Amino acid sequence: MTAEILASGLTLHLLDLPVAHTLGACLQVSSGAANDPPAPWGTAHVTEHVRIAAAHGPFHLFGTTGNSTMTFSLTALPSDAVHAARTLAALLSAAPVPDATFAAEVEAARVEARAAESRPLLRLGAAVAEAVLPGSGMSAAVLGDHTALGRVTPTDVDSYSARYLRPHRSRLAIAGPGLPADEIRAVLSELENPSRTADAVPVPASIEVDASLNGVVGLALSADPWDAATHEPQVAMVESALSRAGLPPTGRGTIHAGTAAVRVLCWQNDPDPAAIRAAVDAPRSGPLAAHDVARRQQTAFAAHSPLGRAQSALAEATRPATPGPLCLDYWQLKINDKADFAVRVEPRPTSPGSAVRVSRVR
Amino acid sequence: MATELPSGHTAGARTRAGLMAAEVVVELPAGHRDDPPGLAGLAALVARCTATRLRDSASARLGWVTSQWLEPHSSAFGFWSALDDLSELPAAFRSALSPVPADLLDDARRAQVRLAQRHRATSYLRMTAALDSAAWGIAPDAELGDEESLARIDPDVVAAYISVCRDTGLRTYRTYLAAEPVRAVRAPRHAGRPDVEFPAAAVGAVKPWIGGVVRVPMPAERLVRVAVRLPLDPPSAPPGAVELAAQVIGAGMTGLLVERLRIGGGLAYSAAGLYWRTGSRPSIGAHALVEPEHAATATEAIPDSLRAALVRQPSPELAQAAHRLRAALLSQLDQPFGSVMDERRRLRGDPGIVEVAAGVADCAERGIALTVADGLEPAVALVGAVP
Repeated sequence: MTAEILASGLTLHLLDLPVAHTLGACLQVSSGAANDPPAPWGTAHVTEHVRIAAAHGPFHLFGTTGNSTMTFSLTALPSDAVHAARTLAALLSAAPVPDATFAAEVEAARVEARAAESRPLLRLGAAVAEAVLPGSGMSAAVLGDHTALGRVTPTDVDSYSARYLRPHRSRLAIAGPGLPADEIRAVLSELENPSRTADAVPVPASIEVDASLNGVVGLALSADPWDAATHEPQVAMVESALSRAGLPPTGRGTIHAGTAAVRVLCWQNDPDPAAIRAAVDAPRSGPLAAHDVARRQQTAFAAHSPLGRAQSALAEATRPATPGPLCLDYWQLKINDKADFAVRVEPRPTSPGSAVRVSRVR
Repeated sequence: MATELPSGHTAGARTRAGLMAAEVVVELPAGHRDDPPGLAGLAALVARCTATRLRDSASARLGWVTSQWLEPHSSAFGFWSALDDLSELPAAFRSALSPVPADLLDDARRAQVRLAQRHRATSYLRMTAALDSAAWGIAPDAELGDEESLARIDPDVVAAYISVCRDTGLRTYRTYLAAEPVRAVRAPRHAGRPDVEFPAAAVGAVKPWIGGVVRVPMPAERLVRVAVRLPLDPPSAPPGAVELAAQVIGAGMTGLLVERLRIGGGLAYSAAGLYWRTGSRPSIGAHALVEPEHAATATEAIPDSLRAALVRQPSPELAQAAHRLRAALLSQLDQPFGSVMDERRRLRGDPGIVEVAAGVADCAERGIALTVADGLEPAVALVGAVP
């Protein structure tokens, strides 16, 4: 694999896969929902949709928008390598779309948002992650709900694109057989040199969470910087210990923002908090190596396809040199008589606890 | 290194330096349409119990990635490893596919009831089941069963089913992926035993096309899924033709139906072409997700788009659709389990992906000329906020 920074500032990774039948390509932009303000929440999500709608060509383009990244990916025939590179590079532009297309894409984003909103634990997870790492942008993506998306305008999308969908903020990985490296570089060299802009400052979050979750308790495992190779086996050991103690979490998810990540576990079945703590604190039997083997298999599995290899290359390129320590925080969701609620995080031994004041319950 | 396979035969397998992945699929000779009368969900229950025991066995310790496919007339278990350690598989599978204690069966039964309930709450799955019901008269809950049918399945029933599966013969398929081209090894059947149809196969015997409308009201749903399916004349549908026509109707952001309902009118949240090559004849269809007030518009637009896709002359648009489809098809080969499942398809007499992709390219050059089977009614499904 070769990785190089082109004149435009775009970082290019080319991976040769001689036995593959297709190629996979992934463009990752270092901006996401946390960059929405001062535009309405959801601007990044709509931008992702609009950029894909504006793209022309024979490819099925897929996009995802997280708190800190926006990712576009495609698979293609090997003969289309140069065209694929050109198509992804064109996403780093502010090409306009007809009003009808813009409206259709806002609606499509709202359908996605409604589907996410029907899963209340998703919002709770984001609220917990924000409480554990305040100001890190952990909750930005869920703030772009179907109501907020309706306030996004074409001007917002154009401004977001011009500011953040820039080559110097982007990495492109292409994996496949017989890649025409020189032709790909020539296409990408046509990208304009960027004008660099500063990131927006993350705005403190205010999230609505379903009232039925009052009293839910949980555990958050976080690190900054997060490194999957280091932290996922440790998290797996904790979850394995909880399962062996008859306390498997009823909900779990990992929220990423910037270099940090928070693995949120919760229990909705009124468990004994002391039993959870005892299971977590008990000496963990079984070698960490067993969880490491499982993680290696899962990582190799995810990188099996050309697109998976491209995505894996991007993940590897952004691995931190020095992972942060894994921190454990016990938390509980509390709702008062006025229907205001907060995620209260217990004080860590070495630092004071924190709580996030959130908006009233739906 | 010689490996003993579940059938009792051995297959040679060389350990390769620089191995990328090893994939094995073990196949039982019966699927959900072979469930005996009154025991709907039996194949699914056995698959669930077997998969649970495999998860608790060597596969968990070694981190194998496993998968399971329950098909109309087979039940397949896939194993994937990047560490070339699948030599432990035969013993693990032999142990997993064995009589099930009552407590494990009770847990599996409860889990399957919950899964069936979730499926009944998922409008897309209700739509595909409704289309099968409208097309072939297949009962909508046949695959997973329901509380009543599952309650009749006790450990003795499961033991007898497993015994028949073993006697009929399991099949194993294996591929290695490395720098060298893919190799496939197929396990021979028991020597001297002729091909034997699974005893209950008659239950799932080929059914004639029926056609008609099936409505599935789902009060909790706000939207309606409208779907139409047309039976085709098999001779007009060589490999690649039906697949390409479905692509022309709609896939992702492109296609006749997508243009008409989503991009053109903003009427549909999603729209896509569908195709089937199961049953006594191939069929083609399309579905759209719309607000209830647009259901009538969608019900007209879908058959129009289907008819328009059946006959297509070569054109830049057709070439583009073929290009996208070939990429999607060939990318299946590059997915985990892709090569071993393709090998399985070819060894069962179905065209492999490379052949289908070549057929798509042919159809792009010559055009599509599908014909609807004469005298057969379309199958129509309306699911969700249906009055």
